[in-house]
Amino acid sequence: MNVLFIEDDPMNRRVVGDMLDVAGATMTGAENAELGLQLIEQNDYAIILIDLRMPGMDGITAIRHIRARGDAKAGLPIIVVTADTAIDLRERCISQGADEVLFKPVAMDALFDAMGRMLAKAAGDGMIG
Amino acid sequence: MKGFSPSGLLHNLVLMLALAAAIAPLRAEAQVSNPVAVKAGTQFDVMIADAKAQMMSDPERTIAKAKEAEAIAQTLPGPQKSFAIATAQWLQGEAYLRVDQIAEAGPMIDRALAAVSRNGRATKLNGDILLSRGGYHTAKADVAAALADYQRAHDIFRDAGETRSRAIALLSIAGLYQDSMDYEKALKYYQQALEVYRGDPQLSLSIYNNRGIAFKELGRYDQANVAFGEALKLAQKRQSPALELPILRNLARSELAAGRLDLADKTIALGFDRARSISNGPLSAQMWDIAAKAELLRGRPAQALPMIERSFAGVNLENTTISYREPHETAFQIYRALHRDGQALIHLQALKRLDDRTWKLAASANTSLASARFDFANQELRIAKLKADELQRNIDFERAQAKTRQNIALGLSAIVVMIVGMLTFGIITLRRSRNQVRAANIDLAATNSALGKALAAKTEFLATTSHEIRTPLNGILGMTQVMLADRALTDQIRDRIGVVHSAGVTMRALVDDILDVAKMETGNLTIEQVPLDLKATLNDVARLWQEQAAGKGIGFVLDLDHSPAWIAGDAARLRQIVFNLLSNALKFTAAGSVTLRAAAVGERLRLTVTDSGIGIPADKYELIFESFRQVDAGTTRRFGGTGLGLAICRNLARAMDGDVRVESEIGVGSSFIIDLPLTLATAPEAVADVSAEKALLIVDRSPITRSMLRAMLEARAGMVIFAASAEEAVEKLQGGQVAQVLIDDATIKAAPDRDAALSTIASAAIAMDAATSLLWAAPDDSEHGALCATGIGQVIAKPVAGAALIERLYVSDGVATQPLVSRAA
Repeated sequence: MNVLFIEDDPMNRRVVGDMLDVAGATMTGAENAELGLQLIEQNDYAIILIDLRMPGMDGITAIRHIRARGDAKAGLPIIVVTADTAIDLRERCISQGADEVLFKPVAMDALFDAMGRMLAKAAGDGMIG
Repeated sequence: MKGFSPSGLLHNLVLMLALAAAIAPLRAEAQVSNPVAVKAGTQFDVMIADAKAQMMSDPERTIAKAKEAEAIAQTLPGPQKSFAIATAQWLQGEAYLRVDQIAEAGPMIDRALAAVSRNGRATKLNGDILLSRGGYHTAKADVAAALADYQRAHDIFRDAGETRSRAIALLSIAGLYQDSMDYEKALKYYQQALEVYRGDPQLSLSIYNNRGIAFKELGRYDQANVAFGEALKLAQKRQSPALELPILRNLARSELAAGRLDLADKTIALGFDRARSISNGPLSAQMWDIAAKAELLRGRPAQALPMIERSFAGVNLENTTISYREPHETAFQIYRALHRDGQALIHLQALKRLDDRTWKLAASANTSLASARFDFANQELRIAKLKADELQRNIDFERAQAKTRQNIALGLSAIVVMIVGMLTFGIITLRRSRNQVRAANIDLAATNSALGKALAAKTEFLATTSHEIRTPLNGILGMTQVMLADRALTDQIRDRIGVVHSAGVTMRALVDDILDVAKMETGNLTIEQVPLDLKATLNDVARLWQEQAAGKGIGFVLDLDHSPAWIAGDAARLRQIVFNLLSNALKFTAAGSVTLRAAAVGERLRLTVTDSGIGIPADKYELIFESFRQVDAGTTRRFGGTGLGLAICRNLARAMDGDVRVESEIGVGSSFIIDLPLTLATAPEAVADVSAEKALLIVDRSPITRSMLRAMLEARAGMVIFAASAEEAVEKLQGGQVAQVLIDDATIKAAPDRDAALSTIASAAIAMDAATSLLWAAPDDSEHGALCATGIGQVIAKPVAGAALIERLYVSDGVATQPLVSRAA
């Protein structure tokens, strides 16, 4: 399973990468949203993890870009991973197209659980592969 | 009848003076322009001079002389000819005007104008002829045409630098306005005439005299008398009783109008003297009507009667001219006073006749003048006028402003007085208390403001700190989790990493608490109100602490006997409160037990956490609920904790419209009582009430896939348990709670021996009467057969849709079905 993690902090990329490795998934890191969008264009990912605050394009804008795509990739499961704890942040992210919001520090079980749920949701009318 | 003016007479005086003054220049011009035909020219000049000299005394003779001059003019050579003809014709025309032969005057003047125009460039003669034509138009009551002529004449004189003639033109214009009874405008033009030329005493005399009349008509007798005085001085200087007489008449009338009978008597006496010095004839008669009026004003009509009779001696009362207007009026008044109504009526009719004519003329002149516009064509005058007007406007504006300001000031003053009055009353009555209250308010405001700022700063600091701490925590907790997931770890290393992880979890809890406090202090804490299973929620929380209590060797009692089941509330926040209180209770309890009790008390829900700990002094009951407080600083070191737990509990409880309080006894223990409003809720429809006694075992090493499969199947399967390996799966199967096993291929492929692993699971499943299914990526027939040979119930090819998977696992509703594939297969 290929996962794309759009996150500017290298440590966070490393941690999530190692966690996904435990689950047998492969993670690709993108240090900014622009690169992330480019990678989505070029590759197939099962799920997208994305931070909110990044230099350049922010996470919400990137999510809107993904959702605005004309192809099947517009429906990719997207999980926001953020250290932000603002009020109603979850609702705001979901209203902008995110499927789930996780708050740092991310518990590994919570990450896997969320990813599994997102995949199940995506497979509701799709395939388990 | 006071407003009426005998202006015709006076206007004639103006023209008379003007023409008398015009003689000298004309002759000089004729001499210069006639060097060749000296003889004829000289003859012509003599004739013209004669004609002009007769103009005032005998206009008929002037006509005759001018006619002769015209005949001679016809013989003159070249350019002089038309000029001479024009001059002769002009004099004839002017003379016709004087003898009231208006019909002859007009064409003659027009011919003169035509003759002089042949010369091309306009000369002074043009202006003189235009002045005469203006007189002709005035006589015809064509005021607009008269004004136009005077205007053109004025322009010609101005361009020629003829200031004296220009003043005459202005005087003529003023006369038009005076005839139309617009005395203010007339005065303006008289003033301009004076400013243009003062070199001719006769002209100035005329202007002053007319100014006097205008002032008199406006009732400004003092100014009128001054003007007549000026005119009289000029006349006396010239030693001309003929000029003095009309001025004295005007002065006397003005003095009578002003009620100055003493002055009038002297003036009248002087007038008789001057009249006699001229002749004993009709001129003295001009003074008698004034003398009669003086007597009448003294209330002596009988004495006035012979006087007025003398003034009208030999006069035809039916065709008197305008100069008799005032005598007629005086006569009417005298006869009335003497009750001689027949005589009075005759004079009244004469008066009406003259007035009708005058008013008609004035009305016509007024209308014409209103529509006509005299263009000074004199920039200096125009500019001066504009400046004057602007100044006036400024003055008017200033006055209006001042008036407005004054009004505003007055209004404001009134309001201010009223307010001051009211305030004074208020101040006197309220001063003392106000001062006290104000002082208190100022202090409070300052304090509140400072507190608000401090609070905001603190909140922001807490939020920022919380955010900043989360990021490195992510690294610590993330990596310890990854490491702990490694099954190859030795127990010792696992234990050490576990310590790091626990510290990180505590730290995360601390950060969460801080964040909660920050939210609470800024009022950003939100409480949900949704149905929740209270008993299940409390069971959940208790389970976390039961192990801890057991570990410390203390009892843990969960009493939910009187607890309601489903209520409306915020499960997460409720859990947080109970969690914190239990944590506290265990922390401060070394022996004995901890009890969690829930009960509905009327409309309230009461949750009680009781411990047998160290207890809390009564005076600290409230203190412990403050942020960052423990009973003494020493406890922080002994028991740890942030000191935020109780503050958060109380804040949460209050946010739910409830509260938390404590009852305690030192050395015996404490009870924390959570009092909340109780809103019962109905349990939601059981989504999958199959609640299979036996679970679905998912054999998958990937936590993500496990989570995915659980999410997909939990609703249908009820309970879902996991195994990460074949060994673990056998272990779970042997627990006897598994109805069905779902095996993911990734886990089997990672095993050392694929078929052995499958056979092991299949055997265990068959032994426990559990069905088995295997997810396998696109198996071909031979592979399918090999997989089934291991004893697996069915092989489900990946990829498979979620709904299809459920279909394959559970063919019909109800309990788990028999395996689709024969065990024997």
